[in-house]
Amino acid sequence: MRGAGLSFEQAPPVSIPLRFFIAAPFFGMLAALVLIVDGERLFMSRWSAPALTLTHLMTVGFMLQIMVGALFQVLPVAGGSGVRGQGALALALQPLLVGGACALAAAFMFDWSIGYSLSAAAFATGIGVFVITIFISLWRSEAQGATLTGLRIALVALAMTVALGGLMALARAGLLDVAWLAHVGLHVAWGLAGWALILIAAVAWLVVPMFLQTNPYPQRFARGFGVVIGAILLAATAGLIDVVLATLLLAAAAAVFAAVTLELLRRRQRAANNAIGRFWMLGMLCLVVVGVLSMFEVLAPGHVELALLAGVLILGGVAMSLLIGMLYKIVPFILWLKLRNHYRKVPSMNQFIGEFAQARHFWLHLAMLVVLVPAPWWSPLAVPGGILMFVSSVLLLANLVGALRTLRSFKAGVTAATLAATPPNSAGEPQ
Amino acid sequence: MTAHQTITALMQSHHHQCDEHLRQAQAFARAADPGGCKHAFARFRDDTLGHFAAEEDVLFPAFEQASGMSHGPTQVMRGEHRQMRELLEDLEAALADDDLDTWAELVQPLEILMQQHNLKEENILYPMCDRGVALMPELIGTLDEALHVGADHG
Ligand code: HEM
Repeated sequence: MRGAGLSFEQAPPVSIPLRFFIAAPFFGMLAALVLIVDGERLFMSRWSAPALTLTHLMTVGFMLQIMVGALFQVLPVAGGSGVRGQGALALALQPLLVGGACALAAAFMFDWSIGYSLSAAAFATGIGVFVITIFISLWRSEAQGATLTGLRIALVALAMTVALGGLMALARAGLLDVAWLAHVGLHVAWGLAGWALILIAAVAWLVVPMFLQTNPYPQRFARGFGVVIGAILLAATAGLIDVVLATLLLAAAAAVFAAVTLELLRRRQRAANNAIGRFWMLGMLCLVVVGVLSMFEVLAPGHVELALLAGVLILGGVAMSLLIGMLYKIVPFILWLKLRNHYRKVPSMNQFIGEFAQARHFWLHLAMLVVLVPAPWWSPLAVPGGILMFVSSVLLLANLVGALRTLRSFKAGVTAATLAATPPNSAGEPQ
Repeated sequence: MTAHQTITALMQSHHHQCDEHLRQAQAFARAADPGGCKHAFARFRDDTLGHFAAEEDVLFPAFEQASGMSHGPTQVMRGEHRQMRELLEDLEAALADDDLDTWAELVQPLEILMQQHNLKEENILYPMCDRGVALMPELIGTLDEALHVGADHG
């Protein structure tokens, strides 16, 4: 029995994931501002400057921050080992990712060519170091399981996405041949189907049964999912199959994953009456629609509005819903655990982020989607939709900060009580 | 003798049995039925404590002996058992007061802790034990017996 490299650490210090989680809503706010100030141009085409800006504020800003934070949290559970040197890695990584995302957004929005080069350099360094460090940490792990397989494939996909994106960014900056821009189809496929979808699925294998009390996913399905998608992407990249055919297959896979998840949710004993259940139900419903829309797009291309609708549903409907719902479970749990490791009587998970605050956010988020879904046909809706998106991001931030405040005030209360209860010169060890 | 061929299969099916009792207890709690909840929870607690005991008394020592690691994974697993035992006590105290609200609040983190803990065992620790099982062919049978002794106490 070899066991080197296994540490079984329970969790990283809470400051590591939280610093990424807290950064995410700021990208949501920036994306909302783009909708508000430039919505008309944005809804003219998915290739417009504001559309590319918004897409990347959401993908390499909002989504990447949350997913990187969550990875630090999930790896010890899925892989039995934390990330080596995670404190230093997180500290170095976050400025690179935040800076890279802002530079890329500014480059798209204001046609700022230095921004393309800066972002390519920042992401190449940040993601390069991140992916390599995690692979080294996982290398000797003896862990098995669908989640770990998925995480590995998703990380390779992230590296591919960033490499292709970086090359296109340099082409847009005039430093490389424009021919690189022809790879946008592959970049999108690796980014959305490879990185985002496989990562969401890998996390879902863990989180859906755990947080939503469903039966587990069928094992073969969970094991095969990431592998099949990875194989399709590789085949498309190597030119073995057409990108169009690959897109069709990937869209079908996304729809099947969402349908399987919905079926698990439908069959559980408890109705989806809590906020995270609603967020995930909504996210999965949107993902089914996205899958079907994308297949339709492939078979009957040329519908500008439908492509934009797919974008609204992917970023607002799927990514935001699933990630917000996940945060509202993970954050109360990790803060609860942090306190519980030192004290017996601690606030309940609901006291960190209340059911009411979560439910209010869900309805506001739903209103945002209802307003934005018809916006590709009538762009003035971008303004109210953008305002709702801004408020939604503010609510997310407020709920996360509120959870931290609960932690602080509990600790302050304990300290005060200990001081009051302890005679002046005996050591008061809180327990 | 056990019908299970591997440690992973045996222990995993026992995890699922515990999960099932917990779900029943939760269903009773949602239906505001303290009597039913107490009954289902007692079965869950006994099975879970029996599971912990079988691991700590039989499986972990065998693992430690075969792998030469006594401060590694098993140490962390024991620490998590301690944490969950404390939560089980708190849950029981809440039920003794017929306080289903507190019970429902405390059961949330217990569920997550347990799932995380079980995943680590099922994905990492048990497969490692299975790979070393040639060294101790009688281990599965002993473990199976220990699990059932735990359950019979209930
Ligand atoms: C990691 C996640 C990423 C995702 C999910 C993603 C997604 C996308 C999508 C969906 C598009 C096409 C927009 C559309 O279809 O309307 C796109 C285009 C583009 N992306 Fe990304 N992207 C990611 C990262 C990056 C990075 C890190 C860079 C650069 C450093 C980058 C540079 C570009 C460029 C330059 C284009 C436009 C190419 C053109 O001119 O046609 N992307 N990306």
